[in-house]
Amino acid sequence: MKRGLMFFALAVACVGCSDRGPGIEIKEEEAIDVAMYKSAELAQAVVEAENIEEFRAARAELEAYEAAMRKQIGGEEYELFMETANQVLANI
Amino acid sequence: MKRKILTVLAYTLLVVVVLLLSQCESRVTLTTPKKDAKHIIAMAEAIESEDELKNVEKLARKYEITYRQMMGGAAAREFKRLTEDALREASAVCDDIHAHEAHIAQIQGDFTGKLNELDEAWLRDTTNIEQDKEYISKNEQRIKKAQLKIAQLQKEIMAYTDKLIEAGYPADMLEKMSEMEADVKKYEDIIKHIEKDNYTIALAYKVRGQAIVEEKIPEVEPVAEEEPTEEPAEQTAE
Repeated sequence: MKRGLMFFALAVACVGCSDRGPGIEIKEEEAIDVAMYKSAELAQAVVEAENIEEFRAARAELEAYEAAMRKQIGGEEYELFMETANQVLANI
Repeated sequence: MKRKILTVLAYTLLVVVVLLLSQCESRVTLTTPKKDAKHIIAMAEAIESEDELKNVEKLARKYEITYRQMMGGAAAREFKRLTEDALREASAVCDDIHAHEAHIAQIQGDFTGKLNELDEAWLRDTTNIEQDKEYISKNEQRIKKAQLKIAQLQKEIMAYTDKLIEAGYPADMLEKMSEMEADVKKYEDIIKHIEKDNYTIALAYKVRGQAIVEEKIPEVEPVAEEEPTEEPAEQTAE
């Protein structure tokens, strides 16, 4: 019984952690700044990477923010985030 | 024997009950056309997806059919008249949602596509710039050849179109025409593929702060040469 409960608690903890992702939390009041400025900054880091490691790290951060914006905020702010990032990425 | 009969009766009863239940579920309870229309309108106004729209349309049809069966054509028409505007508006809302979803899919595709392009560029070997320059130059020649081929095919198509019209569009000629058009498409695809190849190589150097396509600059010169010849022509015309 005790073992079963422990296993259940572990499983719940695993599911909880896997759902959270890389841990970026965006508050609603920050969303517009993230969409307008942070997206440009992150995309710029992707464009300005000097080696593949830097590129991969910058890409991962940009994609983590994209996922956070999509899941936590959505709507017009998410669209703005994507459009801003795309604009910077296209300027390479 | 008696037991067998009872079992058969029990099964039959079960089937009848199931059938009756399914019929009950598909029926709607009528009040008045105005009241039921109000209910449908409220549902239509809250629609946010294609599935919801389909469900509401289905329900409205059910009401309409039931009105026709139970109260006659006038009540059914009244119900339809009251609900059709709301359903039309809901359909327009759904179209907007579709367009918006398509836009989101497009920007997401651009985003991932660009990042993958850059990933590919970083993975590409750039240790032999001379070889890559030669490769790009050869690719450009291939593009020119393909463009010439397309121009030639388009001329042939134009000439063939006249013959086709004169002959009254026979099947064999139409088939040949579509073969020629398919050839044009094939060469266009080849060009796209080569251009993508060249772009990826150039991008591989670009992300590393090098330029491999500097040689492209002289290609602009013929256009610059043409301009002065046009200007005097304009002056003489004036």
